[in-house]
Amino acid sequence: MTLLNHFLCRTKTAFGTQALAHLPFDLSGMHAYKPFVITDQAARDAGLHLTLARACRDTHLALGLATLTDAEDFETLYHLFADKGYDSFIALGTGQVVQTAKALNLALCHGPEKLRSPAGPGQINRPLLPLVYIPTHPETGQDTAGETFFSGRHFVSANLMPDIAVITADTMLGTPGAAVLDSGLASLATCCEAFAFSGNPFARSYAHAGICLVMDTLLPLAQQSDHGDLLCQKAGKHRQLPLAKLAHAAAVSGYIQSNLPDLKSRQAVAHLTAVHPAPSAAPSSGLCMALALVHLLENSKDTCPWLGKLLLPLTDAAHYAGVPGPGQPDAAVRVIRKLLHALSETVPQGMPKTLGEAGLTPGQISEMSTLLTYTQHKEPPW
Amino acid sequence: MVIPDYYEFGSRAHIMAGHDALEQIPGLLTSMGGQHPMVITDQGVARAGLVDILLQVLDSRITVKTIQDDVPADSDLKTVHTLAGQYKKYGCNAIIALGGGSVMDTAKGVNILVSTSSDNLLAFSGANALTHRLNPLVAVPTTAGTGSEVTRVAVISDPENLRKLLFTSGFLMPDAAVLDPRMTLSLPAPVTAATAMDALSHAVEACLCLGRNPLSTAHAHEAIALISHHLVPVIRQPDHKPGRLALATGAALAGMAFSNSMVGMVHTLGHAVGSVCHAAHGTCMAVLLPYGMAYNLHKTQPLLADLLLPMAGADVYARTRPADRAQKAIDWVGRMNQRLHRATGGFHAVRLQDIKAPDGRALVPRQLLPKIAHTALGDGSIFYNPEDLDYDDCLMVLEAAFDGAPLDLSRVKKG
Repeated sequence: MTLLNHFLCRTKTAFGTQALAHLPFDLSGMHAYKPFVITDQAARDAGLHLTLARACRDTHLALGLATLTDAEDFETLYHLFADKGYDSFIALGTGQVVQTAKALNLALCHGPEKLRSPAGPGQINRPLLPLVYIPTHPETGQDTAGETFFSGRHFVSANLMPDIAVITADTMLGTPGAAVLDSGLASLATCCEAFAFSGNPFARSYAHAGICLVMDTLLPLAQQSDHGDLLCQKAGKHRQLPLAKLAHAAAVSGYIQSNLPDLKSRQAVAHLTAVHPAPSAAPSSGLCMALALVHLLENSKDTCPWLGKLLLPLTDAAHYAGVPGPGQPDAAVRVIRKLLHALSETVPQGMPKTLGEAGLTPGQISEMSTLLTYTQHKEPPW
Repeated sequence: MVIPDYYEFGSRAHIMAGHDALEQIPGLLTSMGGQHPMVITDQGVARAGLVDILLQVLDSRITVKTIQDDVPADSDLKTVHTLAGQYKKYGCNAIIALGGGSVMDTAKGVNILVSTSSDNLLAFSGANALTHRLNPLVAVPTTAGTGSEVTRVAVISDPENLRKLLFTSGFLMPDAAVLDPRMTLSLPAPVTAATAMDALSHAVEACLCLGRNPLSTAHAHEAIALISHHLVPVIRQPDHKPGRLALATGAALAGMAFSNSMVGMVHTLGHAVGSVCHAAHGTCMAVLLPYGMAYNLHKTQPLLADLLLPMAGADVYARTRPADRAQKAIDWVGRMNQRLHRATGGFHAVRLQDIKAPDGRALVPRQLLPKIAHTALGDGSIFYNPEDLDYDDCLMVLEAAFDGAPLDLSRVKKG
């Protein structure tokens, strides 16, 4: 089989303290002068809409603002956008905020009927209106992926990726420790699997950066976790930058998901939840993915040629080069296990570090092993 | 991980890299509504039979309206305007750019004119003058070096006014970059060496310069590993398709890296040598790269040390004392030039004085070094170099590179 490496990332990442200040320039570069800002109550309560407005003050931009509430009607937002002549979207928030902005964009550009049936790759070919994504806490990668969910329907297209992801400490809200763990572990699993198994040098480059960002921030964030952190307040000063880095890693994992939709650690989430003796008590999706990753790596240590190289982004050049080649796969898995162990100690009630500890029976683990096996290792054709 | 206060990283081109990547073009064009493309290329590419290979893979979904193969080695305004007229005359709705940097730049310029219905290309020069998406553009590189297939920049000459026009916009990024080893199999060894060293210089400078960031560095390291591992073997076995694909992939990765972090003095000086002496860009980059690394050593030692791993591999990295790794990376590039010199039968230059025209004439005479140094001071890449550069610094580096002598680090000002 000849391997064809595809990679498409439509999103420009703008990271750092000046990211918001650059936004008006970037929007005008896309001919967008009247963006419709969609946010949620938590971001609004924390005054992040004012932070955004200050960044756009004295520019040519005219911002409109809608705050998603339970009562907010999609149709109302649709007509508001169309009637007021907005020309672009800014999603200030994560999860529902971004999914709503993507669905609105789809409806406005392709007609509301487009949302009545799911659309797979190749069915949404026309570009959509400019969409800027400003996360307010680290998420699991879905926000920057080329997909959205609307009324239980799944839409997939690279055109659904945001045009710009503006990631800055200035918009990070207080994030509970559980959400930090979920995001960090999901990003780590996505990036590690892409790095070790995809054979795609473009995906591997993004993954390398994503893994470094997680390894840099996840454990310190978990150790400093202020369990009083509230989503409706800005994060504490000392946590803002690490949270932004973790949000950056999540954005990167979204780019990777868009290009590698069959990652096994993601498939494992649904499987683990389905077979778990108490589905409501199943580990969070990020933890599921991390446990699945470890299992996948253990199963592939002798067959995956790139697994040893995973030690490089997980540690550093000196550590990687200091471990003889044959020992690198084991060393890489050990680093991840050690991280899980250290994270477990930061959680008051502990957390599972293996699929067995997560409540799966040996039979169920055996089933998972079948799922978590690459029958054909993709290698670059050189 | 050191992370800058602010950075951007974006590369919107849909990359397709593989042994049969060309076969993806009909589907790509169809999905973008570009079933009636114009092919822009140059005569060298056409003579090498690459247009024929391309046409063979285009199926019934695609009707090539016209093939224009007159792009000169240095893209210029007149060519862009002429080709834009042909695009309209034949009713095209997309462009396939098949060639090296000049073809890519020409295609980007043509795309500006035909997508904006303007006849004034100058109105779009500079940064971000474009505000709308352009027509579909598929880039098929036939060299593995410039990275133009994944950059948002075009440089087009305005010979009447003796200037080069720079166009920068996210909309100039090709919609797709198709990397297929069939397109580089026939590249002569010296061109393969020079273009790959150009790509290596993009990757190295992306790691060292002031705009570096975690994403550009990750792409650059991947590029360096691919180029380092495959370049000499490909020179020795030119029809090795996996190696050719690896070099093409490395060049694209390096293009993604440097277009998001910018380049520094190697390009500052290299552009000037090319401009004053009409020397091939890649050759200038190859000669100047170790000198640029050495000049910046005191400001970039840990970054240079990190480069030794993708260049020389884990064993060499582990065997080298941490304090020596940066210098060893510089030496490795110098040795790579020597290896290429031998592998190409002496065609690959290792000193500026070795750069020759096809008729054997030396292209870079010593007496032009002051003029080159003066020209370099006007190059925009100078602002991204880690260490400051003035006229004397430029001249000092050029003289060392001319003679192939080690740079006297005691003369480097430490700003």
